[in-house]
Amino acid sequence: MNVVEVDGLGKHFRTRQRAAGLAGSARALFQPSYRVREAVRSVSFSLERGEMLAFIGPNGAGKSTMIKMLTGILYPTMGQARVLGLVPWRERRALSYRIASVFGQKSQLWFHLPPRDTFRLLARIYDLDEAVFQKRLAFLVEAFEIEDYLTTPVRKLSLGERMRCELAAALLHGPEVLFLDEPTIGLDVIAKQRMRDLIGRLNAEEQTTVFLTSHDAGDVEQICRRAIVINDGQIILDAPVATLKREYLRSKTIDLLLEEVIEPEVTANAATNGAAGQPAGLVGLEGMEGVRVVKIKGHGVKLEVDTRQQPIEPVVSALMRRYRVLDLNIADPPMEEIIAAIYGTNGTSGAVLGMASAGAEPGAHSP
Amino acid sequence: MTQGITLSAPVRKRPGRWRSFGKYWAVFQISMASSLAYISEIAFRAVTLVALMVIFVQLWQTTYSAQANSHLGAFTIRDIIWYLALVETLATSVPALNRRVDGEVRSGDLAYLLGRPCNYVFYQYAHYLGERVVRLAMALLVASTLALLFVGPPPISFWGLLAAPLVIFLSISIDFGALFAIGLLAFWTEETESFALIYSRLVLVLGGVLVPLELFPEPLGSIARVLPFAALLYGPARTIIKFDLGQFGALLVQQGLTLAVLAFLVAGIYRLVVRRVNINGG
Amino acid sequence: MRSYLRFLGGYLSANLQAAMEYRAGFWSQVASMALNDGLWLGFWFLFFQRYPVVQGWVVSDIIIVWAVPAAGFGLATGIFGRAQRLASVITSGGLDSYLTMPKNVLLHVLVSATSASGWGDLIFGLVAFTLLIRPTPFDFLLYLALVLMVAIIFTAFLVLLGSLAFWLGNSEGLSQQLMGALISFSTYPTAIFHGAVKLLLFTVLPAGFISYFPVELLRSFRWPLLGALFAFTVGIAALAWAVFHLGLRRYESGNRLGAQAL
Repeated sequence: MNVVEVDGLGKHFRTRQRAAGLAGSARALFQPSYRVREAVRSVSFSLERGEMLAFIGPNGAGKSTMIKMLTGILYPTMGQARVLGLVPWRERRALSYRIASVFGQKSQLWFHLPPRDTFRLLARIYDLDEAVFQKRLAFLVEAFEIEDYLTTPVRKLSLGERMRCELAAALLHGPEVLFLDEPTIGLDVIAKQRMRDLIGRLNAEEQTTVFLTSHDAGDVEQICRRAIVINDGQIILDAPVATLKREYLRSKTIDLLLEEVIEPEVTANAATNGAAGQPAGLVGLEGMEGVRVVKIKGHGVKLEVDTRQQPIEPVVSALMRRYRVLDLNIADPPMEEIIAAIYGTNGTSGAVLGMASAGAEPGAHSP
Repeated sequence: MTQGITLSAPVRKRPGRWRSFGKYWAVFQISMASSLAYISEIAFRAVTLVALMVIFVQLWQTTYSAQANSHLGAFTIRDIIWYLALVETLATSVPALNRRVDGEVRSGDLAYLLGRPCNYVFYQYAHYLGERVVRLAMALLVASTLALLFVGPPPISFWGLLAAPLVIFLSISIDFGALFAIGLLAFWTEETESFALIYSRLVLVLGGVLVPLELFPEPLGSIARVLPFAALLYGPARTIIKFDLGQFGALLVQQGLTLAVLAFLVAGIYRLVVRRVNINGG
Repeated sequence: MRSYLRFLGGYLSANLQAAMEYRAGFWSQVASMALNDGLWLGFWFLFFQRYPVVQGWVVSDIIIVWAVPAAGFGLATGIFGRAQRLASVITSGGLDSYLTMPKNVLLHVLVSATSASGWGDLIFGLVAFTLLIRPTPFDFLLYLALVLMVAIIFTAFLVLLGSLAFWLGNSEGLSQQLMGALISFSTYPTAIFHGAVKLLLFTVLPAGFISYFPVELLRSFRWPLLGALFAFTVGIAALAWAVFHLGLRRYESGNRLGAQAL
């Protein structure tokens, strides 16, 4: 059975137009005019148990509205949805025992008290049996490594420590579906990694279905297997993350570590040639279209290959024939480029993305 | 010996003492404008004022009819109602100065504000006056309309009217001193709201918001009249309603003394605060 | 039912613990409110001695007219500490997190904070009543029952005012004023009010139920009177419940002013 089933779900908001000036306000009192805004238009998808879905899109695309409908906070204006077999906005109370949501900006933990006290309160809220609660708490504390912070007031914890406790708090009642909104926002690289590992582990051990919205490409790449891209209230793509990268990926980055140091004049050439897209700076790659030298520094070389024009294999062979290659790495471009590419082809061009990526390259292609 | 040519680099003219007060006048104006902008919020305060006026009018009407006399002490019912209108106007028009200062202390904004080319005390004073004046006007409008409806026109003499701006100005300045000092206590105490509450209650009870001090049961009445709280509400209201030169003089002395003591206190606390900010950085 | 009691207990304990993190501040708020009430009571006591305003009013009546509303208000804001902030919780979207939790939204919001000064009011009321009235056990039990009912009336009134935010946006300023007016009217002998005002006090601004009934009941207990008070308490609570949930329905449609940030 599908854990989440969404069928033709839509939501439009009717807001009263506020008129300007006295005359306008008086008129508006008797003849109010309404403005209709379609936040979500006929969205359909389903999730199986244990799936990890990334729900991505630019600001204003309808992500929050979608989550609110699935958690029962908002009721839709058309369509159906079921989460764990229940209709969220009608059976909200029953559903709330089986789902959890973590909103990156909002905190569930009481600021002045240690996390342990919030945990205890949550046990009451979710009617957890004492023995069950203690066992669950012990498990989460060990898994999240938060034993040292249990008795420290939340206000004294760092953001990373706090977010781990927030996640533990959300999982206390053993939810089957987890809604995460920007769970790693504001965290440093190490803390982000830890969060992602925890979520991944949770999914592996407990089959928790994860519904994630994030602007962080790293979150999407590492946590989720499947991505739905939403823009302007509609789904413009629903595919595995790997497919996303493959289909919308038109280039690969090759990082080389060479035994010899590339000569300075070659470097200068490369710098001026970079824009033209000609591999003049590197011997052995003449005549190859679609290969661009991104950076040459000391022993390291970074190339970008347009895989539509040039398959990878000849490039790599040519390099290895000509140079002593100590290390070679072929990588996909960052997620933000992929998303931008999708928007460029399917969505509105020039949409503001606000995507953050772990390794944004200087001189990378702009949408 | 040749005459040396003195060349002096152009120096930015520091504004004269009086010129620099121009910026506080600007703060005052902006504060007034800002208060007027959310006039609806202030209008809601009229609800409390109306409620209190209704209660006290009924209370005093019942009190007067329970007595055979048309006078209670020197007051007719008309005097009392207008007295109430004035004290209520003063009492309900106090802005939450201590809360603002408290917030600035706790959030650390104070440190930044001290760095501006603007004296923090005068700045707050101008800000406060702007708010207070708007609230006074609004409250006065509501209270006097009600009083007019209940008992007719006010028994105010020419001299009372003349003295009014002065005694009111002194009264609201005393309020400023007290609330500002309370707000600064945020440096040392966990919260200042309770001090503000006690201050406000003392002013209301011992300042005669419900009953003119001379109608207080003795010896409470005599004690209350010499306490500084009387300078805030009872003093101004009584002077305006029933002007008496001797009383007016005594009130000025009382207000002046209270203000002087407060100014001294505020200056002391402020100096401590500045020193602490300079050492700790806010 | 039992789960709700455990839920309330859990919150009460968490609220007080959080308040105790700033112990001095908490106790100074409690003390200053108790002192504040004491000042007023003391003053009015003297006033009524000097000016016998209402026929047949004795000292104990003045004390009751303070001790009951104060304790009731204190109990209401001590336990349902968020009631006074309901309007701003609604307009800032704060209801969302409560909506995703398995307890009734209204109760959950109300119980999520405590008002320190409320405890001062409660303590004052209890102390004033026990020490100055020297009640019989029956009187004391009656007092507790009255305090409980008054607390519910206050809470219901606050919920009604706060719920206006579902339709009018942030109404917190107005509700604070009306609440202040209610409290003011409650602490004066109802007998001084006549005509339209008196009508008001037994309908939209239920000060009459908060002061008149308790005084009468403690003076000379009559079952019908208690019944009437009980009926009103239940009625206003039901009304508040209904209005809030009506507004909540509107909230869930997302159509209210200034809603939805995407």
